[in-house]
Amino acid sequence: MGKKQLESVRNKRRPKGILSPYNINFLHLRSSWVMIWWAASYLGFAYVSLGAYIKGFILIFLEFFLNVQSNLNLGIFYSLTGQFDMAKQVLDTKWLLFYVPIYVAIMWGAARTATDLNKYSILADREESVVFPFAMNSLDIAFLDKRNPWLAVALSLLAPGLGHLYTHRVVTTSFLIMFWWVVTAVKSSFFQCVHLTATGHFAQAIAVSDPQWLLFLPSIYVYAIHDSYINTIHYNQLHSQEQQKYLSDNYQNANFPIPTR
Amino acid sequence: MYVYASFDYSAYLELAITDLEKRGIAREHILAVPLDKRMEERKLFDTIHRADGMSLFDGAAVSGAIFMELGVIYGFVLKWGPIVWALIGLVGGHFSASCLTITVVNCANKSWLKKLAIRLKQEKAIQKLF
Repeated sequence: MGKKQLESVRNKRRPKGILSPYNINFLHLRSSWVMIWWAASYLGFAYVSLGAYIKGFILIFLEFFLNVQSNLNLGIFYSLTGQFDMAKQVLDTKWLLFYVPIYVAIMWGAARTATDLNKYSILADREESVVFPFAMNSLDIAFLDKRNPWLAVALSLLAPGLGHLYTHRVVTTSFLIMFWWVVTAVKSSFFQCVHLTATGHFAQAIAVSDPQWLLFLPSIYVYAIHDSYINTIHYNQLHSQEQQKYLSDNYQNANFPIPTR
Repeated sequence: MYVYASFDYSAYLELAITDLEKRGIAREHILAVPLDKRMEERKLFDTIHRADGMSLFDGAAVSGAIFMELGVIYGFVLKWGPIVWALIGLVGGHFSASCLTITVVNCANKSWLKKLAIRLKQEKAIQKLF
């Protein structure tokens, strides 16, 4: 047998994840097609999902900024409802072409990053790289435990972001999504629209809401639901892995008298 | 005397083990054996314990989001408005994609099981020769 690397080196070289009091970031297997879709539906969501938060923050801001400046959602709305002249009128060509190269490059980047991280996720598993399951400082606490993924789904349905709060993705995903959800819901008069729809005033509901902003909401809701569900499952799995390693290290004495028939 | 018990991974498991130790059973006399399955077929539903990176939820979420978006758009033209049609789009898109995935995965698993059964038969036949 050759020399084996120190465990501390293995954990640093091929890390599985890291806990900080404000966030838990870890690698797990992902379908790169799903990442392409999230990048397509909303610049930045793919990177946030992958755990590349700074890239994600900037791209989400960019999505809002460019989309609103160029009236892209309004353009999509008019194009799909057959009002092509309105679409041409409303799209601002001063901003529109900024969107295209970034959009395509980010979709490609998300797919590539997902495939790369899948490799490193497998390597970390094979190295039996360990995560420290508890992080606390004077301001906040995060830890690994078992969580119910369907509860995360329900929480995300109530308010996008709550499902991520449930698994300690606090500042990074949870409040980021919640912030943009609030901004979008207010700007699109979403809740007024819900009230009017619920009381049967459909014509007023249509009149009160703004398609430019309302078109952001499906992506935000479904992304929050899907990502919190997947995240919770892998959070549970990380907990199991960590505990398995701990038990194997501490409760497998070589002299344990194995019962024989 | 040996006492056996199987547990899910949870913080309660560690509480139970440390409780045993507190009651005077030495650590050397406790053996933890992780129960890993060697091979598994592709699962349709993730459990809270495991997932293989592919989820029934993936395709369903993508399809749900697309049809929800279309629901918002055409809701402005249709009678019931964007909220109702968005919900119809979400549920419809989600449900249809789930059904499609379930059918595809079931078919794939069946053919995979068949191949395995054939290989096992061949191996048994070879063993009989010796």
